[in-house]
Amino acid sequence: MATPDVPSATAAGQVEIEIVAWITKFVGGDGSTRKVYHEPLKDGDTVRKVLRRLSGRFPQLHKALWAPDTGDLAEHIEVLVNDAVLDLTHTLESPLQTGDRLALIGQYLGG
Amino acid sequence: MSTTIPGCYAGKILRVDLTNNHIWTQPWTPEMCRTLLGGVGLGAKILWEEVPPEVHWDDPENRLVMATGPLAGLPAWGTGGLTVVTRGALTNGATNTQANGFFGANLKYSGYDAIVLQGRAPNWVYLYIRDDTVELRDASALLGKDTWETQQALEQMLNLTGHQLSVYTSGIAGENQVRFAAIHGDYGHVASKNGCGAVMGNKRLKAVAIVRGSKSLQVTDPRGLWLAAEEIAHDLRFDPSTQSLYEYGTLPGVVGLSRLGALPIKNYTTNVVPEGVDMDTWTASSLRNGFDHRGHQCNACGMHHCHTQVLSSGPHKGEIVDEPEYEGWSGAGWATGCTNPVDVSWLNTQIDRACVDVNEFGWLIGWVMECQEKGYITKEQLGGLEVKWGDAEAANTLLQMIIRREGFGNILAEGVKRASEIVGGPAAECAIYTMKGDTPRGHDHRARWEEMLDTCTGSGGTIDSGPPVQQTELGQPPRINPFDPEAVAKMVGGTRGRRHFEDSLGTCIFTTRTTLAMLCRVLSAATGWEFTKDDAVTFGRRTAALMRAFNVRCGITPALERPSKRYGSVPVDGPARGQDVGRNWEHMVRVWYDTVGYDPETGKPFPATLEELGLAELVPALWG
Repeated sequence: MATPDVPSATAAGQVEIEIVAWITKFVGGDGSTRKVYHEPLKDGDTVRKVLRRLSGRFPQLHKALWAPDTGDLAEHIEVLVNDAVLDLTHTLESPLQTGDRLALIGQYLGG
Repeated sequence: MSTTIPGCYAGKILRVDLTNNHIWTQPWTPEMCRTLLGGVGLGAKILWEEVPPEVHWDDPENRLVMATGPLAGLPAWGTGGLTVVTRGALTNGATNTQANGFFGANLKYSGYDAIVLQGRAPNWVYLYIRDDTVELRDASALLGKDTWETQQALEQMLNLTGHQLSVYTSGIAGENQVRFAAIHGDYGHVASKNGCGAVMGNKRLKAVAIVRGSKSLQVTDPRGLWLAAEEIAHDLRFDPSTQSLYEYGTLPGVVGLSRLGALPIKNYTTNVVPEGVDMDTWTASSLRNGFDHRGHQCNACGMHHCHTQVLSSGPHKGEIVDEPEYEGWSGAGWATGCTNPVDVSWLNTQIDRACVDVNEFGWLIGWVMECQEKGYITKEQLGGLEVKWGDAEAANTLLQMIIRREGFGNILAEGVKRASEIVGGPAAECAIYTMKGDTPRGHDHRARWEEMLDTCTGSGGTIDSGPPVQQTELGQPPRINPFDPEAVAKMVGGTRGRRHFEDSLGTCIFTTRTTLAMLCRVLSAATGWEFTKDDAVTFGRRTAALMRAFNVRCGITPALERPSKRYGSVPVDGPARGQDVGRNWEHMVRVWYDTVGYDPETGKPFPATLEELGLAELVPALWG
């Protein structure tokens, strides 16, 4: 689970999670550029489970990512899977495969 | 109902008939304050009652309403708001557009909650306001001056500096009634939509100059107001949904929207960032810290949003410019293929100084660039000018032609829709606009169906509902599939009204990113009313329905609520590749109409909807 600031090759049995720009604030970054995590895949892993595992290590990300009352995604962060917004090719319950790429980006605020 | 109006209101509407140089005040009544609030709530009522269908945007009898609201001038963040309401030049229908800065505070401290302008001056004038001294003064010395020059000239003429004087002008574009001329003030704040500046120019009103007034406002519950305002400020700083806005304003939009396929690149011809462009140089931090900069906050605002910056390189190195908003980076930049932040920042300020809407300008120049590349518009048509993707200097040359209506600029000054229809042929198919005549905000809405639907069905010359804010409070889900037409329509319809409420308060929408319940707490403390979330929703939907009724009366029908061919096309690459909004359009619009309670055949709010919103008096006028 190395945490380089730039993407690197994803090893077998891992998925890549890219934290983009402002959202890096929630994982100890400065709110600019990116942070990339390579998360080992376990049997039965879904988008939800992998994101839960990641956010479990970062309380601020956890608070921002999940709605406290429902446990589903809150409105503050957009989730992409392989460059597509959630619900296009994957839902939270979709299984992940080696090499899949998740990205977390800030909600659009207008203006 | 109380017989006195709340002390947070100045208490008077300033009326100006430019034709006859007649100036008078109209007192508010407590009932008017409670039912209209201010801003677009007041403006919609004036449009409906005073601008009949035969009075088009360029008729002297058209009204130009420049309104504040009950919270303007109070000690809460972002309370300098200006809302402009008029019959606008692009759609020839209602307009609802905002600027911030200091207008709202300075006007209310002078004793007025709004200015309502009518008529046309025989010669160019500016409106001077200093407390009870209100005069139309000769503006001949201001003609030909851009927005910044106009403010500087008036500061010198009146011997005032800084925030002692608020100047709102439509610049040279307004003088020449460019159809997408804006109203600009306080160095960088722009009410830009639907050609409101063309209306100002049509009235031969060069500027409104308001000396910071000396009158006081009184709130009913100062402690309650202070506590609520502090809570909102705290949430803006620390809530995950607003922290980035607090720190960087709208700058994070560039990188975020690029990842969603919603950053408009080269007139919607691609959604892929060009090779060689490092998006790490486009993060909010890079855009701000890549320049020497300083804060340029609006009235009573603690956000780190508005800034000025110094150009760090290039032919204009050392010039002081206004830091672009996200829509400046897109309209003056990405939409025209310009990906050099210094060039974009410079061009953005030229657009503000020229006084046109940056979104419309981006779609217009991007269209010209694409058409010239494809041979649909020739170099000869442009007077020998070559306008290639990313060429900010050439774009500025066209800008100056447009605002003076010189050569081909006279055609472009009509805005994207009309210019593309005049040129015709294959060029017309490349243009981005709505069939009503206005254009989208600065995104690629083919990846943001919510905003395309909102733009096309909106009644104010732009989006009506805007991006959802605290939508769960209105019974909406926290997120939806952005390409699910039914979910999109229900979200846009279901959040309708919130923005109209905000636009009636005299505040900035970026400092009202909190719950409606919290906004009502502030409003109640200021006025002494018990104003609830349900009151706010009803008020907002009533105002939206009134604007819609005005547009129906102006002849804007559902047939016009569609995107142009390019605007509604299918992205050929990028994250939203293949998503076909056109195939889903009819269904999406039907669901939206059902959600808001309007008739999809005529566009009219149904009688039951009008009665539910307290607009029963409109039923005979709309339905016979």
